[in-house]
This record gives sequence, structure tokens and C-alpha cells, in this order.
Amino acid sequence: MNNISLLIADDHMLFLDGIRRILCDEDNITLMGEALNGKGLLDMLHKNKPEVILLDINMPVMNGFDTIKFIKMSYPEIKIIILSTYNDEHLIEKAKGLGANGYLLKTASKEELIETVNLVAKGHSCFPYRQPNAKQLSNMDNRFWVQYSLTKREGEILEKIKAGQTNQQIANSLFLSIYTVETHRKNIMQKLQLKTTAALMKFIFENNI
Amino acid sequence: MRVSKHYILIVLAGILLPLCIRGQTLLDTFKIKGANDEQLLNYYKFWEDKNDNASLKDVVNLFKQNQFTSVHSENPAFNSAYTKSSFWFVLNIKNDTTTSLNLMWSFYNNDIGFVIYELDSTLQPTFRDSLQVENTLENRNIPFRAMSYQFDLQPNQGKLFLAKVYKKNTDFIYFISDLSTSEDILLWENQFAFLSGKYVGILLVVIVFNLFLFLILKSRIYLWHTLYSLFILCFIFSEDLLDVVYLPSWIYTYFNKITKMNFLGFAMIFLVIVSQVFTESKIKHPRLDIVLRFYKFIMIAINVSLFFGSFLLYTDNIFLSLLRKSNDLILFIGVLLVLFYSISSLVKKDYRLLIYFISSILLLTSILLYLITDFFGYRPYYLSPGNIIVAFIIQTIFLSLYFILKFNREQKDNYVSLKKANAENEKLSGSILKLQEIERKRFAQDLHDELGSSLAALKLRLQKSSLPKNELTEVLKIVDKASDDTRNISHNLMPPEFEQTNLESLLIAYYNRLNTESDVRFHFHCMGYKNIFGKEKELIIYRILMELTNNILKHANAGEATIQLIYFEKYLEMMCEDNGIGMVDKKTDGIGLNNINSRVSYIKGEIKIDTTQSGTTIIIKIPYNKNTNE
Repeated sequence: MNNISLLIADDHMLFLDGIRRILCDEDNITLMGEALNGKGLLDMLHKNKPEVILLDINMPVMNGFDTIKFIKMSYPEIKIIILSTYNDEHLIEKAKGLGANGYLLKTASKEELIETVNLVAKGHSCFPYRQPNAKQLSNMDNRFWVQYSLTKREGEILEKIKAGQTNQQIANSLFLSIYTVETHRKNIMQKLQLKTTAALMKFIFENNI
Repeated sequence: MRVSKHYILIVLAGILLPLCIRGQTLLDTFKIKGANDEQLLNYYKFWEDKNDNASLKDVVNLFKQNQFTSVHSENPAFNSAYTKSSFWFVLNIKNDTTTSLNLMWSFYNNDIGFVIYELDSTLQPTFRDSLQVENTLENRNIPFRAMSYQFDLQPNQGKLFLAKVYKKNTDFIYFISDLSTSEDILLWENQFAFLSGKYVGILLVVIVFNLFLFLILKSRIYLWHTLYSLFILCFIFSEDLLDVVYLPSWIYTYFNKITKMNFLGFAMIFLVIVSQVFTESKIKHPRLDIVLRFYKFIMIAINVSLFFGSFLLYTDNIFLSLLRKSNDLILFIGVLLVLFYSISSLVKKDYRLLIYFISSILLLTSILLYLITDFFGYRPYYLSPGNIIVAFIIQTIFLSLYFILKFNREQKDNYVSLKKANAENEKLSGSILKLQEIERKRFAQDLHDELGSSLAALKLRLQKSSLPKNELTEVLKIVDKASDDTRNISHNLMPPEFEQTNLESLLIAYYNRLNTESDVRFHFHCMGYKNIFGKEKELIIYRILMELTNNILKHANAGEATIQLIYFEKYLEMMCEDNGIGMVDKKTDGIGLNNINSRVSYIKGEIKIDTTQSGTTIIIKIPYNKNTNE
């Protein structure tokens, strides 16, 4: 197995210490150096170019995301794994977008850490399981609803409109105020990109709701 | 009738006869040559009854003995200055024309009583009429505002009248009399009625206008001005004998008991108050203000006593006479005082006082001259239909204009300061929100970076430790739990990278995470996201959604909730629906809702809450145009 050279940037001394202790047990991973922020890391890169960099997001002077941009510009061949306490979808996406090769939670176990480093070094992308988004999770198995992002309530209202009920009747049967029903109708029209009630009726019958 | 007497004089003197009266020696007989007549006073012969106790018989005897003297006066009035006497006078008239004449002998002063007798060729007196002010229009022989006696005179016929004049409600014997044909009187009255009607109309408008201003603006000065105008109106009514014409008889019977000087006294009180308030004398001229206040106090004491005295002690007595005389004097002093106060504006360069001075100078001089006339019987200038009413109307128009301008300016000032205060308020609440967010952000970061990293380091170290496997797993679980808690707490305080991430993806991530952690199933929809609000406003929107979501999690007892953000053309609509138990009890209070309301109003949105036992729908609309210029 090839020896993997590694640099790490994190402003947290205790954490760096922990990482060092974990990695010294690994024969195939060599920790070439440690930086306390992105700037320090970039300085190191002038001398040594590692295969993989472990990069914290929140650091003083230069943070992780800015650092990725620089590294990817100057040394696109270096692989980067983001190390973060944040388990947020939008951050993972952002890291991916900037060209990171992996995203690792700081609370990951020792095994996960080693595995991720190895996988990334081999050229794999290594991101945690991404949760399906709201649309996919929604109970609407009817693809029609999904297509127009209509909610269950809006579906109920469409059915009642189709049945010829007035706003007041809809409000009464759904225990809503008339203002709420009117707002729902407006929202439906906006979602379906329709302007008039006639167009809505046409839409309802054409799509056989 | 003092105010209009000059007018009458002009009419009397000017139209038909050449002005020859002054040069002529005394005429025994007033020869009527046409429709009009001349200075009547010069034909009167009188005898002064100093004790007011002579009988008719005595007086006739005195006349026979030639004890009567001629008036011979350039003044139109019979007598000026205070007197205790009553007077008897004779008038000998003759119709010098070839037609029969219907004549009216009128007396213009309603504080004086007249008794008229006709003397035949043997000087035997016959009672003709008693003219008294308390007679209402319907009780008078002639329904005319001035007390009048009407008689016919055939061609070349002569008549000799003896009349007694006595004080009723005054300390002056001061009256204008006029003898003319009925047609001529009618003509003159027609003109006068039009003019006085016009001025009374203006006065009424002023009264109503100021009353409304007072009711709307609640500023006392308008009330004082209303009362001031009201008393001026009463004075004019009494002075011009309009009361008997305008007022219903039941009011008139009370009204005529009050001497006109009493009305003028009350008017003077309110005039002083108005001038005080208008010129802010209490602050700007404290020394003069003390004098004015003292003056006002005396005025009120005299006039209130006079007012009630006139009702309770209708028969004239020394007490009332004393009050009236004091009132005359103090009115005189008052006018001088206000004049002096006004003139001081020139020295003090107080422009408000100057405005007041300009508006009032004519009125003050008019009142002054009016008072002087009581004593000297002659007035150097005259404006129809009366000096005081004309001057008053000039003053009122002037002051009303100023009131309107002042009102306008104050309203503008109020509006500006209100706007400023609002802006200040908004800025303050904005900066409080900002501070709060900065604090939260720092706290969140510290938690995350320091505590989170330490926990991560701890975990790494534990994995290298020599703890038994089972125990290690347990401890690692606890560390993981601590890490998760730290992350959640800090996440709630401020989502990481908030400023670099758009609201939609943050919210999608948030509700996804929530769905894995909570029992409530959240559906999140964002339609047509526009990056139209700045990050600061988006944070507020985010906070509103967090509060709404927390409410659903904590209180709604809901199984499902739908959160929607729909970006319309001109506004963002946020809709939160849940199928929980409603919030009927917590509708108006609750810290969560307060937080939501204050944030919604900060970004100028509106919130509608529709809640029943089967769920709650909250709709918030945030207009773009009020949130972009920052």
C-alpha cells in the first residue's frame, strides 16, 4: 500500500493532538505537518505537497472554504477532506461545489477517519449520506402534486373548486377563514402560473384532478 | 343706540336739509317739512328732576312758569356722564307740509324708560304711551327694535309733547332720539337690518368655527375665543337693540335685565385670557402676566356679581349702581392695560404679541371711545354698523387666519417629529435585533468551534485509550450525545455560514433535519426564491420561521405541518399550516407570538392567524418595496 502524505489545518490544538495520536498508529499515512489556519497551510504547501489535506472550516485568518479555492487553483492534484463539526447539508454541498473530495465530521470514529483518508487518496469522493429532500420525502406519491409543488391542503381545495364550491363553502367545510382560502387560491394560481378562475377550471378538467 | 347714532345723524342731517342747525338759534317749534328731520335735540326743552320725585302736575306747572331750559347741544345725546336725576322735556312740533304725516318718535337706548304725554292748548296733559325695554316685540305698540311712539299729524297741525325720561338699568341718561315718517324709518331700517344681519352672521360663524376648533384640537384658546365672541355678540345684540328682534321673547325677558356693559365686561375678561394664552404671557412676560391675572380676578368678581345681581335685585339700587360704575372704570383701565401690554411688544420685539397688537388695536380704541362717549357724548370716528363690531370682526379674521396658519404649522411639525420618532424607534429596534444576532452568532460559533472541537478531540483520545471495549462504547455514546447537543444548540442560535448561504437551501436543510428528529412531519415548499431581501432581513424571516416552527413543535400537538415560502411579484408570502389543536387560548399573548409580531412589523409585513381546534394557519406577507432600500 502506498504511503499517503497528509497535511492538516485546524485551529484547535487539542483536536490536532488527537488526530496526531490516531495517525501515528497508521503505517501508510504520514502526517507531514500541521497548520493553525489556512494561511499557514498555504505557506507549508510551498515546501511540501501532500497527497491529502485535512481542512477545518472555521479557522482564524483564512477559513477552510477560502483555503480550498486557493489550493484548487494552484495545486488541483491535491485532495482535500473537509473536517467539520457541522453536519449541515448546505455546507456539505458547498464543500463539494468548491471541489473538496471528502467531508468528514470531527465526531467521526477513528475507523471512519482512516477509511475516508484512504478512499480519498485512491481518488474516490467521500461524502456522508445525503438525506433526501422534502419533495422526495413528501407523502404525495402523486407525481402531479410534486411537479407543481402543490400541498395536500391545496389539493383538497382544488377538489372543492372542481365540485363547484365557493370560497365561503370551502372555508366552512375545511374550518378555515375565508381569507385563508383566498390565500390558498392565490397560491395555487401562482404555482400553476394561471391568471383567471376560468383558466384554473380549464386546468382542473384538462388534468383530470 | 350709541353705535349707530352717528349713522342716524348722518342720515338725519345729510339728505334733505341743509346743515343749518348749528348756526341757528333755538327754535321753539320743530317744523316738519318733509320725510326727514333734523337734529331733534335742539328742539327739546328740559327740566331736571334732581330727586326723581316730581309729580306730573308739578312738572306741568313748572312748564307754565317757564322753568324749562333749552338743550342746545352739538352732541346727538341728551345727556352724558353719570347722573342721579330723571329728566322731563317738551317738544313742540308742527306739520309744515300740505300732506298728512304718520310719524314715529324713536328712542335708541334700552337701559332707559320713557313716558309720553300730550299737552293740549290749555296745557292739560293726556297720557299717550309708556316705553319700557322689558316689553317684548309683541307687547309694543310698534314692533320695532327701538322704543317708539307713533302718531299722525295733519297739514299745519301742531302738537306739544311732554316726556319723562328715567334710568332703569344704567347710571347715564344718554339716548338718541329720532322723529321721522314711518316710510323713512322703514327705508333706513331695511338698510340697517341687512348690514347688521351680515355682521351677526359672521359672528355666528366665528363662534361655531372656534367651537369646532376647540372640540377637535382640544386647545383651550379656541374655547376662550368662542366665549369671547359669544359675549361680543350679546353686547352687539343689546347695544344695537337687536335682542328684541332676534331672540325669542322668553329669552328676551331675561336677556334685557342684563346691562350691556355687563356683556362687554365678560367679553373683556375673555379678551384678556385670549391675549394671555395667545402671547404666552405666563412664560414670556411673567410680570405683566401677574397684572393681567389680578385684573382678570377683579373683572370676574365685579361682572359675576353684576350678572347675578341684575337677576336677583331687578329693581335698581345703589349696590348695582356701584357695580356698574366700577365695571365702567375697570373696563376703561382694562383697555388701557391691554393696549399697554400690546404696545410693549414693540419694545420687547415679541412678534406674537405684535400680531395680537395689530389685530386688536382697532377694537381696543373702539371700546375706549365707546366708554369715553358715555361721559362726553361724542365720538370722532364711526364705522357702520358699529365701531366695536367692525373692529371685532377685523380682529377675529386676523386671529383666525393666524390660528389656521399655526394649526398648519403645528400639524406639519407634529408629523415631522412623529416620523422622526418612528424612524428612531425603528432604528433602535433594528439595532437591538442586530445586536441580538451578533451575540447569537458569536455564541454559536464559540460553542461549535471550541466545545465542539474539544468534544471531537476527546473522542479521538478516548479511541486511543486502554478502556475495556464495552465501557469505551458507552463513553463514546455519551460523547456523541454531547457533540450532537452542542451542534443543535449552536445551530439553533445561528445556522453556520448563514450569510454565505441562500435562505431556500438553509430552510430545506433545516426541515429535512427536523423530519429526522421530530415527531411532526414537516413539508417545506419554496416557490420562486428571489434574493431580494438582504441577509439581515433574511435572517429575520428565518427567525420568524423558527419561532413558528417551535410553536408547532411545542404547543400545536400536530402530526403534520406545511411551511411554504411563495415569492409573488411584489411580496413574499409565508404560510404555516398545521393540523394541531389550535392556539385559541394563546392567541394574543405568548412570548413566541410576540417575537413573531415584532419581527413581522419590523420588516413591515402583516400577519394573519387563522386558528381552530383542527389546526392553525398563519399567513405572513412581506412587501419587497419596503425592504429593499437599505
